[in-house]
Formats: sequence, structure tokens, C-alpha cells
Amino acid sequence: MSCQPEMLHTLTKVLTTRAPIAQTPKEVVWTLNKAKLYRYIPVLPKKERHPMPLLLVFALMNRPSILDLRPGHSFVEFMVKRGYDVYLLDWGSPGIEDKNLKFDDYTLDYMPRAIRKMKEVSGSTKFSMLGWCIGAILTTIYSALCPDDGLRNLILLTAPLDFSNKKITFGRWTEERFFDVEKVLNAFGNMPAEMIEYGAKALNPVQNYVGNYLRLWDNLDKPRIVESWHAMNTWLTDNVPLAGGAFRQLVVDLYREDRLMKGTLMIRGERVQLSRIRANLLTLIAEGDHITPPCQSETINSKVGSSDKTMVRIPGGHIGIMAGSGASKTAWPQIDGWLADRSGR
Amino acid sequence: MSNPEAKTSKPVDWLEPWREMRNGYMDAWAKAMTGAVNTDAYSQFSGLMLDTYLTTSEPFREAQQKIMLSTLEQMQMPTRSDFVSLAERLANLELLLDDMSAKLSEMARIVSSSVPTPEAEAEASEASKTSKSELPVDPTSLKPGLKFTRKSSARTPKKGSK
Repeated sequence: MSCQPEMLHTLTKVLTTRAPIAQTPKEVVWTLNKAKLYRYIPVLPKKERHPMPLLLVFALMNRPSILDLRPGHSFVEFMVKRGYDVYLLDWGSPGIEDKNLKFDDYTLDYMPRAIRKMKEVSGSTKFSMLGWCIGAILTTIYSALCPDDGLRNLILLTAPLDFSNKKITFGRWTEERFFDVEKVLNAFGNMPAEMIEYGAKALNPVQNYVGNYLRLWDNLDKPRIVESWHAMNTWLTDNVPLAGGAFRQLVVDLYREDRLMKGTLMIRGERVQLSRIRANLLTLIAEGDHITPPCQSETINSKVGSSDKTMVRIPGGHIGIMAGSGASKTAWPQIDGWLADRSGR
Repeated sequence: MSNPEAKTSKPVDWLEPWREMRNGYMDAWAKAMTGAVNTDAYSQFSGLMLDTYLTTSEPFREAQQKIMLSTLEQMQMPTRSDFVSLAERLANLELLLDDMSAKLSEMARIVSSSVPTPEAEAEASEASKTSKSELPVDPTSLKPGLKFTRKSSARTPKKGSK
């Protein structure tokens, strides 16, 4: 590739501007504090749609726009076109006043109310729920605490649930002898977005800090690859802080003490028992995941009380399985195929 | 006469061997670094760096907070803690309002579902001329003192509205 002025212009543009992401038409149907519940505008007539709504729950420290990255390559757009009534719970960006928010608040104050609104708007008492990354922790806790709330299908994507393997990189970094969680939270209140971003990138530093930019440089004359890179970079560089209380629970209760799998996690005084989950369960594992290694998701199916449970392994990384160029041929059809049979049309 | 093969063949990229070599080197480097960060030594190093930063910056942070607090108080301005407590109270109010909104929606749904159809209404009015304005609402679903007329109960909340 020769270095031409238009390529330098493209490079400058891509590195200094934000790509238009999250473009699928939607409306806000509910808000609480910083959280918003979006409903995506259906494109199929009602008789062709699945009657059961689908709620998407993403991680707390990233924007959920990764689920709707760009027109023509968006999981949300794909599901809407397949006839699903799709809702997205956006947690928003916590301020210093939210530093005490915990998993307890997210799963028992926010989620039940958002789900209540979704039921009201959709007119259906049954629903499906998809949780990704820390969103999968929240959906799992919710499913165990509220098994009779109408949840029919639960999809867990790259779910960090089992912390028994002490060789997981994040687990090692946050061991008590290396990391003083209270000191960090006393200084910042919430876990700063920049520190979370550094932590995620440092798991694979060469690829994230060098390889990623080399890939762009090599493909500056290929508009489709540049567009895709630009959209992904826009999402990657727009992180949000993690509420202090939730971060403390993640480090202490989960990474250090593995309370969820051991059945000792207490949420507002109630023990979270995974055996109480009765919804149909689909667990998707990314084989090349550095952030949530497969061992963190492999054991959940043996712990839940569901009779219908499936585990699927997909080549790719933590984000790549849902937003990578191959996602529309692997993960998305897997989810659609599994869910369509269980969504009661 | 043009040669079709010459038109379709790709130009030779003299940098391709170098690029392949570079990618191979990058893969090996990435593998080594991924292993290096997953060690006790790296964890200790990163923890020490963070701890040093937090310890050295703490006096400055505290001093800055004290100065800011006293300045704002002298100027009769609200401080950060005032805003935080106000925001927390607002969030609690929002929770209550959300629950009230849901209860009102449920009441409206019950009331609208108990509104008789025009045919049934006509029959009822013929059978009994006495009841003119009251609706056959389940009294257990309403608070005492609330009176629902036909007009107000016929309104159902617009779907999707907050």
C-alpha cells in the first residue's frame, strides 16, 4: 500500500471522529435514574412477529451500542427483521451519586421495573432475556431471584459466572495481595472508565495497542474494512465508569470468593440459588475469549434447574462473536434458531 | 488485441513478504505478552504502580477537596455532597413515581376492561334506568373516595408512553 494523501485523510478522519453507530430506529419507553429502556420499532406486521418480547441486557461499564453497531451489521437490526419485539436496557453512565449502587439495586430495583414496563408495552406476560458479559451476571442473578416473573428463555453470552479457576488474568490482578479495592473506591468513588479500558486492553496488549492500528493501516484503501474499524473504535473508546458498589461486589464476592457458583452470594438478604433458574437456557461461549475465558461459562448449565439447556461454542473473542464480521453467519443465526422455536409464534 | 489475463491479474505487492514476516513476529510477541501479563510478577507490578499513584496523589486530592469545600461554603454555594444527596433523593422519588405510574396503569387497565360494550350498555340501560353515571368497576381495585366516570375511564394510556 502506498502512502497517498487520501489515505492519510482517511486515517485522520477515522482516528479523530466518531462513526454513526446505534442507528436502528427506537423509542424510549421507560427511564429510572440513568437507566433507559428502549423499544426498537418493529418492521414486520404484528401477525408475523413473535409474541414474546426479547430484552437485551449488556455490561455495566460499556455502552450497549455494540448490539446495534452499524446499519447492515447490527444484531438488533437482525433480530428486528426476524420478527422479534426487541427491548434494550441501557444502564447509562453512573455519576458520583451512584457510587453505592450494587448488583442488588440493578437486579431488584431496576430490572423488575424495566421488565414490568416491557410487559405492559408488549402486552405479553412471558419474555426472553439475553445477557452479555456482566449483563449475563445480572440476568442470571435476576433469573434465580425472580423465577416466577415470566422469564421463558434465558440467553447468556460470554458469561463470567464461575470464578473457581484462580489463573484467570483478571482474577490474578484483583487478588487481595495485589489490589486494594477500597483504596481505589475511596479515591474515585466509582471505578473510572479509563482504568477499566486499560484493564481490558492490557489482557492482550500487543493486539490492542499495536495490531489493531496495523490492521487499519494495511486496509486504508478498503472502505468497508475502514468503516467497520471506525465503528468498532468508536464503541471501544466510549466506556463508562462502573458503580463503586457493583465493582466491589464483582471483585470481592465474585473474583475472590466465587460466591455465585458456591451458592453463597447474598442479594438484599436473599441467597442466590442457581438451581431456582427454570427458564430455557442457551449459553454461548467464545472459544478465543481473553476477558471471559470459556472455563467461566462452562459450568452454569449443570447448576441451573432448567430442563431445556444448550451450550454452544463459537470461534472468536469476547466482542468478536457478536460484533465481528462473521457474527451474522455464526452467533446471530444460532440465537435466532434457538429462540424462534421457544418464542411461541 | 488485449490479453485478458493481464487485465485481471493483481499487481505484484513487493511488501507482502515483509508484511507476512511482520505478522508472524506480531503473533509471537502477542502470545508472549499475553502470557507475561498473566503472572504474579505483573500483577504485583501493576498493583504497586496503582498503589503508589493513589498514595502520592491522596494529599493533593484531599487538599483540593478541602479548598473547594471551604470556597463554596464561603460563597454560599452548594457543595458536591449537597448535589449528591439531592440526586440520591431524586432517584428514590423516581422509584416511587415509577411504582405509582405502574399502579395507575394497572388501575386504568382494570377500569377500561370493565367498561361495557355499546350493546351491553344499551341492554343495561333498558333494563334499569336508574344507574346513569356510575361504571361497573370492581370496588376492590379502587381506593375509597376515587370516582371514575365513563369519560375518564375510557382513556387508556398510549402504549410506549412513559
